[in-house]
Amino acid sequence: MQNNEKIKMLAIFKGVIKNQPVKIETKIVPNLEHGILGKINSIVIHRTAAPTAESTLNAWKTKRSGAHFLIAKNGKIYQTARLDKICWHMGLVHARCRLEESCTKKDGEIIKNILQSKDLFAERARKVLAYEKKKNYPDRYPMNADSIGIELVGAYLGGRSDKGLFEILTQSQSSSFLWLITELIAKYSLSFDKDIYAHGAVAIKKENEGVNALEWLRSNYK
Amino acid sequence: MTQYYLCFILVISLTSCAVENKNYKYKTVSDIEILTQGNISRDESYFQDLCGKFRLTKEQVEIYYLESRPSNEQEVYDNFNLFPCYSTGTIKIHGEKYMWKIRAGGVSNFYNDHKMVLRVCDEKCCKRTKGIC
Repeated sequence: MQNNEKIKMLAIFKGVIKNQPVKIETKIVPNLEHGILGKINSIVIHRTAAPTAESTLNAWKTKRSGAHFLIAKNGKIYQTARLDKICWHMGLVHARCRLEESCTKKDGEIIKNILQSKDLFAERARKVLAYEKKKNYPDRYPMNADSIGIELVGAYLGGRSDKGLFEILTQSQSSSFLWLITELIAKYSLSFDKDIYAHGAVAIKKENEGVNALEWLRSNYK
Repeated sequence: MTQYYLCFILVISLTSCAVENKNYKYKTVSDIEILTQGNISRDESYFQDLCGKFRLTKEQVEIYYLESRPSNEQEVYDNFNLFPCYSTGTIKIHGEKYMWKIRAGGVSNFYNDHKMVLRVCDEKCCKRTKGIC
């Protein structure tokens, strides 16, 4: 049993998964990689808001933000950044203690003052992010510097509503997603209950981004 | 002296043309109405603090429309922040009536029974529409 588990464990060389050529296609997009990713504390689930993997891969060719993995509708997993490199996938992260109502009085006041300042909205959110960066995980939500990003291909179906849903994962996509998450949790000794996040729940994005995928995962992860 | 006079007349005429063109540009939209203000799409007090009383004037809506540009879901997802604060209303664009929903951060929807356009506000647009971004 132990031997089987060893065989199953991801073999990562210089940040690239090497022992899963059937499941994972290495397609590193160098412009998505920024600096050294040290300790990995968490995994963040994203949705692409695009209908195909090709459109996202094309878009990433000229962009600086993106994620470590992209899972296509046919279940193909693309590794698009090395696991020892930071990807810019988090955007403007919320203040965890404020959102979860667990701040100390002083902490809460500092954040409230930033939020209520006269700065531009994006500037206020950037200041909250800078403030949160000073904290250690898990007192704050995941940051680029300590998390892996997984993008699941799927268009946004909510029209003008910001609470709409993304396309439902295909069976092949779900299966690859579950496999990859299980492997990464084992590799980096993460907690499924505590260290996996939906992007929309922790950053200024569409509220349901990654939420349904995470719910599906919760029902199927063993 | 006559030359200076002619030059003066020319400068005044050109300035008038520029102003007229600008006004003409602004005539592509009309009948702006504001229906709801200060909406917040999330319940947590965190967002109440962030959004405050997000309010727009008709003038801001007009300038926003003229300075913003069409976009798509993927670009919005990749490059723009979607704050949960928004106002809604109606507008006529080239005589056709649309509903609008403009969010803090500069992402908006202009829509009617036949069309829906996602619009975004870049840096220059944000500078001109103070209070939206």
